[in-house]
Amino acid sequence: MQTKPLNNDTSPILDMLTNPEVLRFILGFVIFLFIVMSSILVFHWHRYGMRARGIVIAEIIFFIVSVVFILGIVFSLLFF
Amino acid sequence: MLKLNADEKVILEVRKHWFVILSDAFMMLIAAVLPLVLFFVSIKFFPRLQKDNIGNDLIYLFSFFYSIWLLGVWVAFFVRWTDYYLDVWYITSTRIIAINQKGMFRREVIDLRYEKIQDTTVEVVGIICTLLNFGTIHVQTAGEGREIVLRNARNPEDAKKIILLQHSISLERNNTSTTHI
Repeated sequence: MQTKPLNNDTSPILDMLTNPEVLRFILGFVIFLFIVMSSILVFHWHRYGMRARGIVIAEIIFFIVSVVFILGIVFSLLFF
Repeated sequence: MLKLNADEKVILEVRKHWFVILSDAFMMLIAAVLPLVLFFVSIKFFPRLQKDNIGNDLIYLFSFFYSIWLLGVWVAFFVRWTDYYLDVWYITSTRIIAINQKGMFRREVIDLRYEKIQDTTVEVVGIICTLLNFGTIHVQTAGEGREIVLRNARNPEDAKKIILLQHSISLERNNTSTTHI
């Protein structure tokens, strides 16, 4: 996959960051990290949260907003 | 899961004050907005970025990394919130159950019977703590010299009163049972 030129005199780092393959790899890594972190959080909420209403509301808000951010990442990559 | 004895009931649940998580949320908000501000400031101060007409691609690239940043800040906030929410003391009719969540992988649950309590102190320091009524509760145990602490607890004076009351009830109960023997 070709690097998308943002400018005529781009730096190697910018070259790397504008490579769609690199961006896709970053996306995959971020989603992997998110799954790990949210699993840890959900484990704590279910194991120690004692089914409190606050925990349920927090869980819903957490996942809704996270999906919005993930969609933001995916759409930015699609339009780039 | 909280396991209580058959004759035991929770009298008071002592949690950290909401101001603690609000101040964390404020810091996270600053962290969330900062890259956005820096981006627009850099575009303003480096007009070449606009002149070269790299506009849309740059914006999508920024939006990609900014969304990752926001997701990171969001998860970090919930890690802090979990830590805040799971730190709790249950003052029951027979003991204090102090649960201290330290990060994601360390959790301490201390059972402290009232007979072992030697001293309870409350510290309310500063104008915000005084106005919003939160502070640190210290409970010291006899013998082991151990102390359990809940920082930034809501209504610490109420908690102290209930602990002292339960302590004296428990001492009376023990004295009565000793006299009967």
